[in-house]
Amino acid sequence: MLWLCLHLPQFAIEALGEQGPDHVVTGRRGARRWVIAGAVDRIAPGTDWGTVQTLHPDIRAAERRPRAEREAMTALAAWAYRYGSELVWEITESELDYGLPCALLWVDIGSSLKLFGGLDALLADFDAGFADSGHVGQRGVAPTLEAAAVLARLGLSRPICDVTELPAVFDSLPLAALPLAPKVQDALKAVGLSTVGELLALPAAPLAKRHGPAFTLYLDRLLGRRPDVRPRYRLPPKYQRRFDLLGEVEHSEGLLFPLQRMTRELGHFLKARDTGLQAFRLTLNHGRASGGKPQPDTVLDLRLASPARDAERLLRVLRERLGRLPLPAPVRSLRLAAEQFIEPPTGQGDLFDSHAGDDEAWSQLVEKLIARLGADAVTALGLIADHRPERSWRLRACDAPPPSPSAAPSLAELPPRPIWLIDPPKPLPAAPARIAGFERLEGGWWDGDDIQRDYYRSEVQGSGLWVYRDRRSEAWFLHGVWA
Amino acid sequence: MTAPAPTLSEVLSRPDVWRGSSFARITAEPSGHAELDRKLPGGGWPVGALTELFPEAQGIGEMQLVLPWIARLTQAGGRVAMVDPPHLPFAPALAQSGVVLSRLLLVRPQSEDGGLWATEQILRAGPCGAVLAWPGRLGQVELKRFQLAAEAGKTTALMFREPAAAAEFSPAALRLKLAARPGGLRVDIFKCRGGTPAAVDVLLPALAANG
Repeated sequence: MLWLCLHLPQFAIEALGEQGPDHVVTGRRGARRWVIAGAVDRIAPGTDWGTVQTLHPDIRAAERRPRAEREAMTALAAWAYRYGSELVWEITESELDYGLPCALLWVDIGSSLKLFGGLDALLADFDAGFADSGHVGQRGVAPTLEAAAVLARLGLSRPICDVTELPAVFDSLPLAALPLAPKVQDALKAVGLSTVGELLALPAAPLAKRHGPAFTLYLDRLLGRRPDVRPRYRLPPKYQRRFDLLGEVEHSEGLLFPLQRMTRELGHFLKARDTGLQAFRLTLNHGRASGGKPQPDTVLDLRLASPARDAERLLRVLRERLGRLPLPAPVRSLRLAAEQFIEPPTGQGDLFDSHAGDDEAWSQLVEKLIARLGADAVTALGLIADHRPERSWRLRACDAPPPSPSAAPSLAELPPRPIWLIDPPKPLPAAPARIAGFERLEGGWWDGDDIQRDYYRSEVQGSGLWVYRDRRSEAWFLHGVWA
Repeated sequence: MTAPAPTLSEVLSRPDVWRGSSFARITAEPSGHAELDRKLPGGGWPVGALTELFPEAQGIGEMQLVLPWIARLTQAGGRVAMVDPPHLPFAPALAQSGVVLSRLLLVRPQSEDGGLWATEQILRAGPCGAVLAWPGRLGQVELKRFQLAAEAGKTTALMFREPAAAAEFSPAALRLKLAARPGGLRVDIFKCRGGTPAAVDVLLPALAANG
């Protein structure tokens, strides 16, 4: 096992979405309130909120949102999944006043080294990808979870690949480098210890007696002397991600930037789960109106012509849809959700199949048309075995699989039909002058739509018309055009 | 001192000198009507170009003129889009003509703008072998855009237009006026890139059979 650990000090604020330089997230315990993350260049984390308000009146604070942090961690884990299938993450709460929560994500890269062509290549790829993810953090690489976390927290990015190297690395580190409870820290300092090396030189049994077995267990796990078994993280079956906007966004163009990040995360999730989706939902939250009344969300259900996992394609569909959507009210936050996943057909290299790229282009075209014109406007045609003309056809969704040829009704015995159907039939003021070619269609009592019609072919100024006389009302109707 | 007269090959290599023979390279799809194909350059509907049809009235057999080719295209696995047709295409009739319905896309936008946009998108994207469109009024700019989009997507674009628009200038590669004749159509090829204008009578058996 070789664990890569990410330490994310600003995670509490990053998880909330787009935040400005004067935003902070605060922790609260009773009457005490302090800054956890945000505005790093002006305020040290852990500063009392009252102090901050006095010194920097322009700073705006938000509460921590554990759910947003879990969602953001899911997104980050989905991205990290490409570096190893074993994932562990942890967001620890501090038990102290003015304590800071700690977000850690571990991924076991030991089995992926060959895939990426060595540790250096993997870390270079990881660093480049992490820089794109919108998070700030430090990484550490070590054979044990705890050691990797210590290295990450300290920002020691030199990878340690072997357990035997660990004591040498820790020898000179101060005791404060270890995430020990303050009580234990103080007790160790009181007996004159200042570095981790001095602590590790002590016999284990008296330490366990004095500070509890959990303390020695931690030291053993740190150095890999005892296994560290923790439940591995599995990606959730559904996807949901909320994203708060910096301010109110009034035009849909302003949503594209956050959506780009959201679809990219969704793309990572789909890749990690090795699946794709054909439908997803974007909810625009408008917050409260000026009167304080909550406004209804705008819900966009989006469909793709074929299962996809490509972030670009998802974004393209969203862009088309948003482009023709006037926003009813300014948008405060976005939520992207997907529940049903369909594995996209894998691009199998068929030697003779030249249509594969064509189908892809076709799906994208249909998606684009549907996103802009609506699903009702972009359809395919299908047949129904019924003798009544108005019931012998139907509109089909273009992404539905084509019906099997055997199911298609036989049209061989049917007299020729006109290319255009006038639907519904148009009443004619008088009987047409020149009629020819007679066909009687009747029946339909079984579903309450009984017809009794005599069809003729007529001609008006060179145009071929398909007309019928209703035998009950004796009225004439235009039902088609021969073109 | 005067410059020496350029040789013939020098003149021909100049970028602003075009030769008729290189200009007339036209790929086309047979329309399925032998008498019409003989008159059309390349022997059919030009691929990657705009064709305009001006039927003198609706319902004179204009669809019968294009359906044999549409049927052949869909049977070969190609795709066809119909944008904004004047009426609902009647599925049994299309199937009778041999059109594979699962390869046909029907686009019926609510607005005229939507139709123009869709036409251009489909032409440019290229997965459709043919686009049949019934645009309303078209300006020079739209026609030029359609022509360029058809070139980019290597799509055959057939536009059915009002007869009055035939008098306007158009960048289309092929322009045909259609007039009713007993049992068929008279096709007046009045503009034709890479060929000469001509007129031809086309027999449409489907019309003759019912009429």
